[in-house]
Amino acid sequence: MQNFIITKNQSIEFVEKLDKLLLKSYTTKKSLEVLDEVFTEDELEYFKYYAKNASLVLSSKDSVNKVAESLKNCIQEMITIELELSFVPTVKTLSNISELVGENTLLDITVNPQIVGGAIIKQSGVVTDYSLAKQVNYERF
Amino acid sequence: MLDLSSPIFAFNISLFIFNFVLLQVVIYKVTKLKTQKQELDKSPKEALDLATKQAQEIISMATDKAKEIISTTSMTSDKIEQEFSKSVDSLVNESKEEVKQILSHIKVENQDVLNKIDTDLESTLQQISESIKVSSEKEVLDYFDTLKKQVAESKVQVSSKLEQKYEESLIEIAEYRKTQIASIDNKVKSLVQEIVKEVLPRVLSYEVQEELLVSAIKQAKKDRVI
Repeated sequence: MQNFIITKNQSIEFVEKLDKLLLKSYTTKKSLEVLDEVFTEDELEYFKYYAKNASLVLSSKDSVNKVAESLKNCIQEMITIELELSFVPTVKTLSNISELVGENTLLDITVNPQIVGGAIIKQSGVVTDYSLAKQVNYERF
Repeated sequence: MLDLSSPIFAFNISLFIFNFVLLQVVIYKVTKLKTQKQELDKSPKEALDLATKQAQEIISMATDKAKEIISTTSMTSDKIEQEFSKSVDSLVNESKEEVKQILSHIKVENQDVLNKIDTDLESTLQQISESIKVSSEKEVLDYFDTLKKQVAESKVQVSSKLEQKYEESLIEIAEYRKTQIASIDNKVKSLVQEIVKEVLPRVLSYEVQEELLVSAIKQAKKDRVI
C-alpha cells in the first residue's frame, strides 16, 4: 500500500475513485464489473491486495463497498508530511523517501529551486529547514 | 493769787525784759537812720561841686601835657625819619654786599655741589644700572626658568593629549576597520550566496540532489521532526 499511494495528490485521486465506486454500486447490481470501470489495473490490484490483507472477500456488492469504505477511511487517516524540494523527484525517489518516513504517511511535494538542495519539512504546522540554501546563508565561506 | 514761783510768771517776766530790750534797739536804729538821712540829703551837692572842680583841674593839666607831647613828637618824627632813611640805605648797601658775597660763595659752593651731585649721580646711575642689570638678569633667568617649566609642562600635556588622541584614533580605526570588514564580509557572503544559488542547482546532479534529500529526511528523523 505504501508503495502505491505515496503522495497527497495520489491519495486524493484514489479517494475520488473510491467515492465513484461507492456511487456506482448504488446504481448497478454488478459491482465487480464496476471495479474494472473505475480503477486502472494497478489500482485494482492494490484494491484486491488491501481486501486480502484485511481478510475481506470481494464476492458481492456489499463486500466491495465494505472494502472501499475501509480503504477510504484508511487513506484519510494517513499522516501528511509537506516536503519542499529543489527538484522534481522521480517515482523511485518518492518511493525511497516514503520508505524512509514510514507507513501511513503521505508526502505533499512542492518544488522550489531557491532552496538549492535538501528539503524544508513541515509537519503539524512545524517547519524545519534542512535545505542547502539555509546552510549557504548561515555558514561562512 | 500771784504765784511768784510758777513758770508762767517767770516766762512773763522774761518776755517783758525781752520786749524792753527790743524796744531800746528799735529806738536806737530809728535815731541812727534819721541822722544818716540828714547827711545824705546834704552830701550830693558838695560831692558834685568837688568833682566839677577836680575835673576842671585834670582837663587843664591834660591839655598842657598833650601840647607838650605833640610838639616833642613832631620834632622826633622828622629826626627819626632821617636817621631811619640813613640806616635803611646803609643796611641795603651792606645787604647787597653780603648778598653778593653769599651769592659768589653759593656759586662756588654750588659748583662744588653740582660737581659732587654730578659725580654722585653718575655713581648712583651706575649703581642703579648695575642693580637693574643684576635684577634684570635675575628676572630674565627666573623668566626663562618659568618658561622652561611651562614648556616642559606643555610638552607633557601635549604628549599626553597626543597619546590619548592617538589611542582614540587607533580605537576608531579598529572600529572602522571592523565595520568595513564586516560590511565587505556581508557583501562577499551575499555575493557567494547568490552565486551558489544560481550555480549550484545547475551544477548538482540528480543523484546528488537525491542524496541531499535523503540526508535531510534522515536528519529530520534523527531530530524527531518526523
